[in-house]
Amino acid sequence: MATLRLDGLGKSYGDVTVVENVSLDVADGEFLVLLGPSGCGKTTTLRMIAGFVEASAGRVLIGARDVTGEPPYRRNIGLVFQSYALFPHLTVFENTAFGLRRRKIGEAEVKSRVERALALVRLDGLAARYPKQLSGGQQQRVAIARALVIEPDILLLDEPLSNLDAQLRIEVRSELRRLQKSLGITTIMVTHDQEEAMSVADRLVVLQSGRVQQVGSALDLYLRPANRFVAGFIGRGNFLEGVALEAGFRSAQGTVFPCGAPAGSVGTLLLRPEHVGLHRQQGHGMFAGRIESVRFLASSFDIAVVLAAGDRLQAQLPATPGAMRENWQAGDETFVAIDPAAMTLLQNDTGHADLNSQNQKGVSP
Amino acid sequence: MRRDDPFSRKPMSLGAVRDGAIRACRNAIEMMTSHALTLALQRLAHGAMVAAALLVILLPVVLIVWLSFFTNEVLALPPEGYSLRWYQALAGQPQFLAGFRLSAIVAVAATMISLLVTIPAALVMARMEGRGREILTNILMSPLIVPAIVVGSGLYIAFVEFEIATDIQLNGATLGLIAGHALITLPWSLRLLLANLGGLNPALNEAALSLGATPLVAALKVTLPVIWPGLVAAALFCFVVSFSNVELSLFLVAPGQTTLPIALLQYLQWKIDPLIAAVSTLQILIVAGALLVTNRFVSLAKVV
Ligand SMILES: Nc1ncnc2c1ncn2[C@@H]1O[C@H](COP(=O)(O)OP(=O)(O)OP(=O)(O)O)[C@@H](O)[C@H]1O
Ligand SMILES: [Mg+2]
Repeated sequence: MATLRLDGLGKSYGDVTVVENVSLDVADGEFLVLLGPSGCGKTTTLRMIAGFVEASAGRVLIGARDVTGEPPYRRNIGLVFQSYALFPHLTVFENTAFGLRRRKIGEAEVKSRVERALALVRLDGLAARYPKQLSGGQQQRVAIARALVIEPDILLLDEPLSNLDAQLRIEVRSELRRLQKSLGITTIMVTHDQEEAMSVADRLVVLQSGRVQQVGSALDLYLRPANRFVAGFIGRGNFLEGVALEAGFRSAQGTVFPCGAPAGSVGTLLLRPEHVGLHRQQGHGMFAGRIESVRFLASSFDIAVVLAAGDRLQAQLPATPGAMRENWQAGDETFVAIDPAAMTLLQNDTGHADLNSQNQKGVSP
Repeated sequence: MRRDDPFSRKPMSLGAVRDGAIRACRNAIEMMTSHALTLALQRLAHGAMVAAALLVILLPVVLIVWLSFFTNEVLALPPEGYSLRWYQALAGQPQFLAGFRLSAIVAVAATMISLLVTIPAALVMARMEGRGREILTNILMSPLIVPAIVVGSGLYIAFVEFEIATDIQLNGATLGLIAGHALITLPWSLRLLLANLGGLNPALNEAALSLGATPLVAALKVTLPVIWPGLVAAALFCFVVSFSNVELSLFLVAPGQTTLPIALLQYLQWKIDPLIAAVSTLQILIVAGALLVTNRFVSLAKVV
């Protein structure tokens, strides 16, 4: 168990850069998730940490140990593959024992450690089976036991759940989280599933085109996205282009949203669909509009609204009995309420500016 | 006050109920039997087809074994009687034993060379992608496209030129024969190994490395055991291809030296008697024995 530090890590193939200047500090026992769209360099980053891809730039440090030039078999990293990669010719027991045998550990200890590891992933009793006699979920747990039994400094998982069905995925991921916390092992997992990432991670790293966009807790990323990409990747958003004026943010269509901003800054206003409220009666600070379409999604309603000036907003209303009674229909007149605290201005290219906190700063003496 | 009460209705006569039940049963039985009949017919047709295929494959083998026990002077039906005389006659034909020895030596050596060349080649090629792999595969497979007799004559000429240039004699030397055979067994070995390695997950090797195995240990403890069945199958194919080859050997054997197929061919030029069947029967026994032994280690049905 140890800390992990990536220091300006980069990878290029020829003149194509696939990972660029990734610097991260992972705390001892932390569960970090690399999140990003397909092809953004998640696997490449993970494989540089594991030692299967040679870094073109930067360093990898485990604790105080610089392992950048070390081959994989000397890094003491546990690895779980998307394809599980269980050895088909070995039993569950021997698969799990493989790493211990490489470490020349006595037979009695191998036996007890393997048994403990298999019990940990609730597979005791299946030790004599071969991988092909196991279900996908069981194979995945053997892979996890095999990686954990060597007591690695770091545990790496590359989309470990993507071959499981939806139900099992949720089960295994909470089990993984429980295991990781009880062992206190520093873990990095790769996924492109936003919900999966948020459900297990202490911190998330959002990658795009090989660059780190933002690092933080799920709530951080949701409340204070660094840019439009992160905002769109963690949760959903309405993005309105426009300019900040004295009166507030004026969208391209001409609607003025009541939030202070450094006047003159050009940017994108982020409104979360779940923060858009719909009312029958006009109230203070509401915008008149018309319902364009309504879709019922069991736990919520997805409603598209067009404001008087022409801005199109997506609203997400929880499917409460109240919302059921309200029974919005396409074509209905509506008044849209948005809490100014829920408005975030994403300045183009220069990261985010939290309008509300600036507002408060301006007010306070 | 009339209600439409089911109880007030006139009950169905018992006779009608019974008739209905009988009719239903009969229909059901008819349906079932006709379904069962179709199934039985299907199974019969399937069985007949398998039997026919087996017959075509096995008939010559059975015929040869049967013929080898005839007392007939000429290889012909019907049998005049049964004896082991042709097996005894083998003792007077030392060229068959010599041919068998040479064939076995050449086949084993060619197989080993093929495997030594194609195992590393296949390991690398399995990881390659795109045109490079395609070109390399085609080059290595090309001996398969050219008829063996053309390869044989080509090699003969090449060996002559080689001898003129270097004074090293390859024609008529066992070494040259082995080299020629390795050339024609190589594509088979490569084909089988590549097919086998195609199913090898590259992550297996990486998993072994991440668990602390050095590349050599990973190759020995993981890659080799996983591709083992394919290796055995490749070796077997190479052996059989080399062992039964005539065309190439004809050009490359030394005068007076024969492989088993050549010995058979030469014998057939003068006589057609059950001795040939006796030799073939022994050959079949050897190959069948090899297959059975191999099958104990790897299930051939899984690889080939
Ligand atoms: N060996 C290679 N040679 C050239 N380019 C490569 C190589 N390996 C990966 N790449 C490129 O690097 C980029 C990042 O690949 P990577 O596998 O890290 O993506 P990823 O984030 O894991 O995507 P996914 O979610 O689809 O698994 C991709 O554009 C890929 O085409
Ligand atoms: Mg990937």
